[in-house]
Amino acid sequence: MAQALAIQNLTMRFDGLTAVDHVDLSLQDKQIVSLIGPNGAGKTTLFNCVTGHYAPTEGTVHLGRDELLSGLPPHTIAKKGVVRTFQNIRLFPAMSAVENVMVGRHCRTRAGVLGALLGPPSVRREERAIRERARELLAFCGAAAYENQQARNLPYGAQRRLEIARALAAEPRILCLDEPAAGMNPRETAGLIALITAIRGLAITVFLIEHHMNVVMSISDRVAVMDHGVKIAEGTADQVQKDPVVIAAYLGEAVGNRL
Amino acid sequence: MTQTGDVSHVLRAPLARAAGWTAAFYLMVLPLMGPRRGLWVALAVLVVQALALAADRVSPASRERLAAALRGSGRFSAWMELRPAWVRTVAPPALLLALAAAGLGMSPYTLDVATNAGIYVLLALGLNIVVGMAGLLVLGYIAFSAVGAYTYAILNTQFHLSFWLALPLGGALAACFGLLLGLPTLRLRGDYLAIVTLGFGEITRITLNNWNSLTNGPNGILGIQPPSLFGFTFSQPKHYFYLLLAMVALAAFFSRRLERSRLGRAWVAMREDETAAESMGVPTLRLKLLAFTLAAFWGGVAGVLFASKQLFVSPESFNFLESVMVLCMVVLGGMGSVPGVILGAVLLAFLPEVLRGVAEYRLIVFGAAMVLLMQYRPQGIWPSSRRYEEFRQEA
Amino acid sequence: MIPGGEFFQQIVNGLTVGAVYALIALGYTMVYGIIELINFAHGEIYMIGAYIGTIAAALLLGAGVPAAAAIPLAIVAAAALTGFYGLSAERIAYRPLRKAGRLAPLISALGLSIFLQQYVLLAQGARDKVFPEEITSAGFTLGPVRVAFVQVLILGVAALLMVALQGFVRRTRMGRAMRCAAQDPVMASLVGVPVDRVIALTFIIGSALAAVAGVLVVMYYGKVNYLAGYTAGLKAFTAAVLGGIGNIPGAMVGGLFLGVVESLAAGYIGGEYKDVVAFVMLVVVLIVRPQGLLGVRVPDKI
Repeated sequence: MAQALAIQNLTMRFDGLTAVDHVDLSLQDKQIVSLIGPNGAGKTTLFNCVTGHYAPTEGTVHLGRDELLSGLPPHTIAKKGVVRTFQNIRLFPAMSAVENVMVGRHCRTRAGVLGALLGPPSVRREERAIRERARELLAFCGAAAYENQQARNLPYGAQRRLEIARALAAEPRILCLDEPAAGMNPRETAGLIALITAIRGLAITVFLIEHHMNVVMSISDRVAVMDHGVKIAEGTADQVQKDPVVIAAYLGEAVGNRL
Repeated sequence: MTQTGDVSHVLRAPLARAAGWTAAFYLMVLPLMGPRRGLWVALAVLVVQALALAADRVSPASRERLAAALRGSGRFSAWMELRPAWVRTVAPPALLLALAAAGLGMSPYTLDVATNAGIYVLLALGLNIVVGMAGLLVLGYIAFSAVGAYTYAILNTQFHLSFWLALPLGGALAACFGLLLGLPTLRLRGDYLAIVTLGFGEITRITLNNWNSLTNGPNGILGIQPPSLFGFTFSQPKHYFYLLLAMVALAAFFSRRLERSRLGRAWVAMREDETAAESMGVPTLRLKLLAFTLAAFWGGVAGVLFASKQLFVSPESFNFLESVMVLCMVVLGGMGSVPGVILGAVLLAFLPEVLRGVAEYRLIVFGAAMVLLMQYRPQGIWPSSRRYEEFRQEA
Repeated sequence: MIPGGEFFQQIVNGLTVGAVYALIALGYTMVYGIIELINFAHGEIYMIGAYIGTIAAALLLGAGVPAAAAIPLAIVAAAALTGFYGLSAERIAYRPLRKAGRLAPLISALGLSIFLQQYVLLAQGARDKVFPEEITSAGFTLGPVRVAFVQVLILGVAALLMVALQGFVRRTRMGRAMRCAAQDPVMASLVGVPVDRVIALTFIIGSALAAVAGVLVVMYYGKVNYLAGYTAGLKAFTAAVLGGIGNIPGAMVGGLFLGVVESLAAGYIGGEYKDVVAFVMLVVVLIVRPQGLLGVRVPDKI
């Protein structure tokens, strides 16, 4: 299987705080890899390094075998095929659901200023295609009912799915989901699991941060565990679940009132 | 007895506060306005507070309801946007024709005023691209207009450059300035960007004022040629009126097109959540630069038109107050809303005419209005319904 | 080339002007530090302080009070009344917009700035306001440099006030509250800091300092005009940014630095482009080192 993403020796330091400490992780094509760990372990920071919001202090991130991502700005990385969702949902609140997804198509379409001003048939075709694709994606993610409603008025579960639809619109090779199941009830969680499985069916590699253990256990091909910025374990869901180091990290945190 | 006792007890604190503020205001204005004029101010302060207190006692929610009424519900904008498509297609050309017809019957003076208003409308539409659509606050906008105006002035008086060539050239030169200024500064945070653009505006004015060999300094450049087309020279107010009408129509049309395009959508996304937009592959810095440069181009074009009408340019026409005026047209009309911005520009451009008698109070009322507007109707007169929603969620 | 006496003279003049910029800059930096607002109207506050001080001095001197008492009294009166202006500004134009995003308060500040400028124009007229007492240009010489007593006064008063402010901010309870609210207003209010009152106090102190600067300037140059607030305000803002916005010692350093650079530029390039120096420095600092000389870069949390 081809390598989709290679994180090598990734380190992120902020003024004395080492949030991510020499982490190595690689994702294979069409895998679903979950990143778990107690709060504050550095998972979202790792995501931010991968997606370009931070430039890592040390180490590299490569797409595929040799395309360097680290140091590039987020929009370039998104265009190369690494797209994310956010821990605290970041939709465009006053735009409608379908408009949100249409923005996701931006990096895959071309109409520029002249196209906007002159409005030739090719541009109008492109706009129609953008809208069609956006609706398809909304349907795929189960949010078609909310098409023209303002994003901020959507129920919570629908907002999460909308965020995923928007990310999919950018035609990612690697989809990074930051706690997509947060705040979901069991029924919504089951729907999410189905959605992520369907996404893998589209030949997209999924990189997942999650706290919901049943989501992690049921769909992950591989699980990596972080604690205090360090990768402390990696393996299949079963292996990780039984790893004493992992258990200590979680239970130790519980004793310290972290859970 | 207890009833009255209750009332006076409840009123004691607010009354004391009202008295305190009144006395404080009197003391504040006393040195500057003198004892008698200051008394008027103190009286006004007292009356305002008394009214507020009375309103609260009579009907506790009355002030909120008044504020809510002023703020509006966005229904007008939403209603407008839901009119059937044919209305929205037919209305602007109909309006255009009506204006063109009206122009035939206007006096030269009215035509002149209308033409000046038209130039302001152009400026406001240009600024709207960067402030309204892309959401960047720019404070020195008139500088781009100055570049366009002086380009035409210098090249026409020295090299007899034709007006029709100067239009794109002035715009292009202004756009270059915009690009040069934008490249290093557009990554700055909103308020810093505002100050930098203000600084740029001032640098431009001071340079124009002092570079005597190029710009003739504070005396300005005279003797600019009006536009001419196949031997026909634009010499009368009505010629300029129709020229401006055409330009405004073009600008409005282009603005509408931009709003509804992929570009316009990306700008809205950028405005609502820049980080999320970046993550979706929207190249925010590049798009900010694009908005900035487009706005600069348009400002330059307006400047060329201005110079060709005035036949004279001087640095004083391009001062900070002018920039503020154009910004207010955009804000007052409704940021990001093309009809709103046009309305705001027309209102503010005609205001000096309406307020002729009290001209010296024009600016102070203007300043006060800006402060009040932000509190009671920040979205402007005719906002786009989306902007209305954005403001509503911030409140 | 060894710098001649001309050079050191420019330095002394620059420091004097710089001290004034520093005093005004403190107001900008404190307000920005606590509510992240560029108080556009602050320049006008400075100008109003200058006017009030001048008028108060004229009144006192006219009533027969000796200059040595009248002038300090005038300064105190100006500081007090201008402090009130600052308080009112905060209450009327800024407090209602505390939660209204970034754009609305900025526009409100612009509007207030225009309002105040026009208010003084209407109340006092467009002509220069002249300081009632001819301030002696006597001084002493220090090698090639001539230092006027007035300059010493300005530098002395400014230094005194800045030290006092630092002491207040670092060592008193209220000062601690101010620093606390500047770092995290929500947290501060949760631990019992009266954030609204702290903000009001910030405005009062900043305005009072600007007023003192205003009176000192009128004494130095002999006159003031309703337009003075605009230029001085922008330059003082530049100084605040130079030193690191939100940073009190930074405002002091930035002010002095700007004053000296401007003075040298006026001496060597020419007076008309003097104002451009400040703006160019502003643009350069914001591009190259937006956190200023003493500021700290704070990364945004995603």
